Amino acid sequence: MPGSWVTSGAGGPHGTLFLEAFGQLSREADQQGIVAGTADLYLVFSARAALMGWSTTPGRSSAAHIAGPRARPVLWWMSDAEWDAGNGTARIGWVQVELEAGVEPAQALPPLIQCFYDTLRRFGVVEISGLQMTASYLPAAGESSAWDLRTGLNWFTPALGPRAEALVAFDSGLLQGRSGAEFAARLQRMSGSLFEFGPLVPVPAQHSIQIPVEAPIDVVLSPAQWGVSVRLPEWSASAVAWALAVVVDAARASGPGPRNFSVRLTRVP
Amino acid sequence: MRDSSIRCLGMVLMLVAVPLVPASAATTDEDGRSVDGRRLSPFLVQRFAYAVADGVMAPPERCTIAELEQMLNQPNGTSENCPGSFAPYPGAEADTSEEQTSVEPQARAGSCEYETRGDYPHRSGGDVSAHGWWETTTYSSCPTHADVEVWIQGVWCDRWGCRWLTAAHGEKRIRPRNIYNERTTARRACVSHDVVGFRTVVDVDLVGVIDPPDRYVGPPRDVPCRPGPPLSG
Repeated sequence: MPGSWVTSGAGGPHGTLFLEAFGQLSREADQQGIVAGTADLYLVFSARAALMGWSTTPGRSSAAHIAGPRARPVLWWMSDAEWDAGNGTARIGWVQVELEAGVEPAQALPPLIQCFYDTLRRFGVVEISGLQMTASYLPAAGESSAWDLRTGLNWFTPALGPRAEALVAFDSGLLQGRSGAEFAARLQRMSGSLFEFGPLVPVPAQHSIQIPVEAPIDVVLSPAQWGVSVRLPEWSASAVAWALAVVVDAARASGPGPRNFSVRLTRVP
Repeated sequence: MRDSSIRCLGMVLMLVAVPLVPASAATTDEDGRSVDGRRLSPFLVQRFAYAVADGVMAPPERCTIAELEQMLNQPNGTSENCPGSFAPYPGAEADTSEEQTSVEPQARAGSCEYETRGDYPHRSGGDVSAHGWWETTTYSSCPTHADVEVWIQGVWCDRWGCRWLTAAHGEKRIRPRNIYNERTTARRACVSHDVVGFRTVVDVDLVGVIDPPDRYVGPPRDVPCRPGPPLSG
């Protein structure tokens, strides 16, 4: 019925994901129309998410043949997106979403990162140097996404790109009292010939997590001094997303899981 | 019936009827009507009980929405005179189709087809924030601008039930967002991350064109933000 919707109630916050892209965005010389920095990142990101069926945007149309939005999004509820203010951090922009009930961050991360990357590419040539995801207000951990992530490895099998080295940094609360070695061992069990998680390594200051002022988080997250090295089958949005999702899933898989945390993956030479 | 019998009946109704009302049905609008579509209203039941028991105790006056909003929008507003607090959305299965279709018919302004949009209330740094805007794919048939108002309403509960109260409001004359990236913002500072139910309401008024009522009422979202004093300016 046009204009009608049924809601099962808000049911409490289901977690906020704040995703930042670092690197460089340069407008293609022959691209007409939209100019990054003035165009609306929010609308293009929302459009991509709606086209892929991952989310929906609320509203109503004056056209009688246009029904209202779906009652509930599949993965996330859109909150906001903005270009970076240009304060010299090499941050391109950020997007903030709220997870749909029952959706784990590790489940949402691959489409979320892909959606963000696809969006940025609409504005020009993108060179991503790293991504950071800050999660807040998450409920207790739900079902692990490990099976789907392992299944997703087949996506990378025909990859032809050169392998890439990266460093995963996180906040000191991510491990929830577990030892770093135990966490690294857990990640290594997800390793194979495509992705190779290494041991704990020191995190240089420039690769540490930094909590953005825009992120809606009420607890203080301190950068961990140690991170995890990872070798990716290629430097792509989907490969970065897979690695980050595995880290998040491993952190959330046992026990209640951290409810506020930040994870950052940066490409290293 | 003797006065004492009437008073007893009133007291019995107060003690029995009100606790039987499920918490999920306790959300009412300013008219005492359930905003989540249910007919049973604890407000009306209790009003009746008070009326019957008149003389036994003096019922306190329920503050109107205007009084509450005035109180909440004063810099140092307290709820001493209107006891109550912001609360999470009750969360029961609710069909709000009546609210969407009968109150707000499909909007159309001549050949200008447009969409009224608003995002979900969300935390933005230390604030709760929401945006409203309009979009069109037939801009040549539309006025250049529209006055777009956006409200963030929060669930306010007191002893009579729960109501939607405006926590923030914004108004701006803007061009369509899908062409000019313009939007109206409403935001209010949070004083804690207590969970409160919010919704976004957007009204698009095309400038110089008679358009039907087209206020969009978004779905409720629980946000970890208890509204604090209003933003200055």
